[in-house]
Amino acid sequence: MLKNKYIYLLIITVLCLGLLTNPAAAQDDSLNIAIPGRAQTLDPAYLQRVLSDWPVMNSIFNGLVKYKPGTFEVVPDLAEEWEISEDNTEITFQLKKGIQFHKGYGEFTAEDVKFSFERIIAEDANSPEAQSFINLERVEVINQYTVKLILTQPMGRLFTSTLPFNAGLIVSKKAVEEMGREKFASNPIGTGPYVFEEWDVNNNITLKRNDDYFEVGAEYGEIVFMPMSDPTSQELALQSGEIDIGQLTLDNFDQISQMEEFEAEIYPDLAIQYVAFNTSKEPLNNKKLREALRYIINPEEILIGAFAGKAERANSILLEDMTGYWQAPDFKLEDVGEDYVWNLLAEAGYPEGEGLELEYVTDANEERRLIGALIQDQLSRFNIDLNIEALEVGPKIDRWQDGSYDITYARFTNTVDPGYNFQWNLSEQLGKWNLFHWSNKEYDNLWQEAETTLDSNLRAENYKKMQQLMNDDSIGIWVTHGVKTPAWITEIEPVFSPDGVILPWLISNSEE
Amino acid sequence: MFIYITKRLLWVIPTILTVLLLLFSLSYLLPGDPADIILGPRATPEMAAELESRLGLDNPWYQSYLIYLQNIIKGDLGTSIFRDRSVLKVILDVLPYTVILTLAGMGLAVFNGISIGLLAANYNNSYFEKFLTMLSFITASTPTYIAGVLLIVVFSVNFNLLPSIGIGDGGLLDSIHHLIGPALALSVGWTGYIARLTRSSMLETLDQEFIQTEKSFGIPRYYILYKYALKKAIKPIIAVIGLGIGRLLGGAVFVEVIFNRPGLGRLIVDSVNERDLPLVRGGVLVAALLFVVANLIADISYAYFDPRIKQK
Amino acid sequence: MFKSQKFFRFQKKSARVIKIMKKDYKAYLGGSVIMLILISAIFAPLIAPADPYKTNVTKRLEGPSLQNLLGTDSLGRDILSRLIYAARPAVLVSFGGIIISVIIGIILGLLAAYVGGILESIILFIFDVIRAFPPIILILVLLSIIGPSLLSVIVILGVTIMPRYGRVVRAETLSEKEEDFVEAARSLGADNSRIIFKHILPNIFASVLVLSGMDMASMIMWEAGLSFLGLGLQPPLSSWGVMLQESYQYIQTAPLMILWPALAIMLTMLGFSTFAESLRVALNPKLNQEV
Repeated sequence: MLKNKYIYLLIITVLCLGLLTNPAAAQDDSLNIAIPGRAQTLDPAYLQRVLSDWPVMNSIFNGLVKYKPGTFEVVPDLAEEWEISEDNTEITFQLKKGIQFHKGYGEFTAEDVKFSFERIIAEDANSPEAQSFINLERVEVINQYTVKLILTQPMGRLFTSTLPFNAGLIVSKKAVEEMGREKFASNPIGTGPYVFEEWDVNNNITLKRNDDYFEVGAEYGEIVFMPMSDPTSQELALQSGEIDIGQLTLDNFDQISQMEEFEAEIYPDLAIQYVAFNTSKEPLNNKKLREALRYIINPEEILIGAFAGKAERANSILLEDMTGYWQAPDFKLEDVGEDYVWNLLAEAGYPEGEGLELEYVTDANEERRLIGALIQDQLSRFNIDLNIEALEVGPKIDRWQDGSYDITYARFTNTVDPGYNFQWNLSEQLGKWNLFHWSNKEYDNLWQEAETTLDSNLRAENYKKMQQLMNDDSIGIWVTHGVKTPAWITEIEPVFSPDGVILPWLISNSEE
Repeated sequence: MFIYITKRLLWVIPTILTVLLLLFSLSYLLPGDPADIILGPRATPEMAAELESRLGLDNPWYQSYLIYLQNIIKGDLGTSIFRDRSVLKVILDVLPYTVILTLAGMGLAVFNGISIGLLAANYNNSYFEKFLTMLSFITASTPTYIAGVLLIVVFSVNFNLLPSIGIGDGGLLDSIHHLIGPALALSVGWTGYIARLTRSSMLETLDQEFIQTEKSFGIPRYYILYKYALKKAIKPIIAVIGLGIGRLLGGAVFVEVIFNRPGLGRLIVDSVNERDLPLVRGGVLVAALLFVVANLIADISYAYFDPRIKQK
Repeated sequence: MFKSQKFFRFQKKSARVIKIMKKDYKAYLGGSVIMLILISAIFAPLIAPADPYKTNVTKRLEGPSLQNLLGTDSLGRDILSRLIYAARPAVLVSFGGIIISVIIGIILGLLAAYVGGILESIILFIFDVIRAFPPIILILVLLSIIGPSLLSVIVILGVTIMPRYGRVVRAETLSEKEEDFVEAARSLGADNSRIIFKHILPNIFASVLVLSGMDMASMIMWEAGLSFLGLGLQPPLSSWGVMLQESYQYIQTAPLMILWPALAIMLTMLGFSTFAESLRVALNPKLNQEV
């Protein structure tokens, strides 16, 4: 009896010890990468959250062109070369030969290009990418390796954001036709450096190396993408060895990036985060008042309070090195003095700020809540009351669209093409995504003109003018582009896009 | 007894029908346009229309309700809007993880709770007993999410002993390893409750005559404690386990979110946030069914162990 | 005659309860915690050392110091002051929620027991439908319909818990109805409302009190949990749950920060539940086993 007891005890102790030693997460040939959200589909024509899905898509599929790794420069990918007609409406691509789709779905040809693009613009397609191909009329197959895009009008964003991004990814015609759209969405077939393997219950996506890749193949044999929406979880998972690449929280960035086991870097995000004033509703339809608010609301404090001082101030919708960048003047309280702002308030009809009560709508996202609390405190220094309403995303969007708020804070995802990024402030977006509820004919015309030209100088000019218009009307405050803070274990050497998105097939082993 | 069980079972049917009606009405009650929430600025009017027809919002409500009921009887819970899979499949995929988590949590709670309770009963009226009683009150006052966060801070961050997220690579040992933290977090609240129950039930039993008689015969104390008293005292504990499983099912929501585990709770939270209506309906329906069954078991086991109810 | 006898009984009983509780350390612990929370909530502006909304980003995430006894949060706000102010929503949620569920529960329970028939079945049915959902999931779905705010959290918590009181009140009323003194009162021509207020309510008072002590602990727990999921109260109100959620991402840089709201929640729950337990022992009411 007693003997039995000791044996049990021994077994239990051994079991406990066995369980408590953390098994190494990464096998040598496999990498675990955290992505910010659960993938919803793996069909590039129907991506809904491009941000989280892009590293996955980019590993499975290729486009005709791509961004040169580490830059936003456009270079050939599946295409060998291309020619643009005089009137900029016909583009002829010569395709590379002998490229094979995954899992024996045959050679990549012009037919696949035609199919991939035309399925997006088809009337019953309902693809969120239809807009990316807005001027595409049809695709013509010249021969097996030559394909021609025929546009109704020149398309400014075709090469900057449509073709190198997810709309331009080429799927296997044979695979989609055989499987049907629904099945293809969870069994993607492309030509990329990795082959889709599994999408499991925990929404992890496993890819295996494509040994027949037409360029230099990937170093790691297997990649598992693990969705973790919360940077805190990613950080913990990285430290406990469950993932090899993930994001850090801003506050822990310094501490963890200094550890020997990890390396980390800060990249500017491509998005734009801003404070928007509702310019079509009392009291902020008053430009003087908006100007006063531009002085009172201090984005620098937001950067410290909500971004741990890690994010850079944004002075434009665009990143500094993008075509059309124009630096909006910064309205600094210390430059003009408080009296100036009190005067502005008085001129606007609110002497001493009395009686001014503003409505601030945001979602319950923690960062936004902090920003709300900060703005509230800043306004209270000028006797202005700010009522914060932290709604769920759905009701918040309802409020955005019917314009029942005075101030809001938003984050819009951008692309490399300015035309895309500027479209939300058009008059036609009123009641949709124009959060300033601002309409300006000149702005609309400039945008339209830039949209239908390939002349990048003209485009740059127009975008600059558009930003001046927004600035003149003081419709809001650009706060930051945000940051990405990828971190990784020192055994590997990852490559990122300029906005900090991992390019999984270029990861190499730093110890070899 | 048989009549009692039958009556309880019959009573469940209209309840479930009403639950179904409530779930159905969600599509008219939930604020926010799903197309906008998910698709964001990229939504086209055509996509919104397709979504509406998938949600059954393009028919009059009574028609849609009948279709909904018909489908449920056929076992068709609809298709998740944003996962391109059938709701039933999505739920069945994650359900085992919630069940295992709940059972493991309950197992830990029962084991630890009974141990603490026995100790407390054994050392009744000592300072040690007061300490144990306080301990059981404190554990009962520790919400799952606090327990989870503290476990992560201590065991995952500081000592790197337990994984903080996920379910492991599928191997048995690794799965268990990933289960320890979540199950422990889940068990904490009920550990305290079961400890208190065990103690009071033990004390009651020890007071009873036959034990007193045994004592006078000079039978060793621990023998009395474990062989006779525990056997009797355990009945009310078994009776509350059904109830506890139902409650832990709710606590699993937090554990699954914090530890990033797949499961019914996280599925419901995610789908509510995303306004994936078919999935919200399906998930809540399954959770309610499980909960009703757990409560039913609890009620029946009460009736079985407490003769007073049987007569009612 | 009945009135005085009844009153005498009640008085005697209270005296006995107080006598028993005076010997119970759990009563002191629970009582003082509840007092502490109430005092913080009522006198927050007097006690709090600083303005809980005042931000100062140059002093963010500082550890405890003389100036900020518990340190500062990510916007440089004083944690101690925020903790004290957060007792307000905690008190509002727990007391408000319990008042709603007790009142509705008593009304429905009495109706069911007194009127009987179809009405009783309907009321019991409503209870069963509410009880068919795991509470946290019901709360979650209801909140996303109504939208999170202090009022909606209170109402939803109240309604979710309500069936317990309805059921207890109904069961107690049914058994009290059989008791001699109620029969006697009725035969003397006392009307129903008189019987309810003079005879039934004082008798179910004990059970309701004990149950509500335990439920107030649960309400604090649920509110904080909802906030933790991002569904709780809205700023500038800051509850312990909101603070918990806000400090979660600093568990490595400022691990102490998450400890304070966690302790506040646990202490409050401990206070309510130990006090309820001590009451239960003293009153020894015929409680439903359910916790």
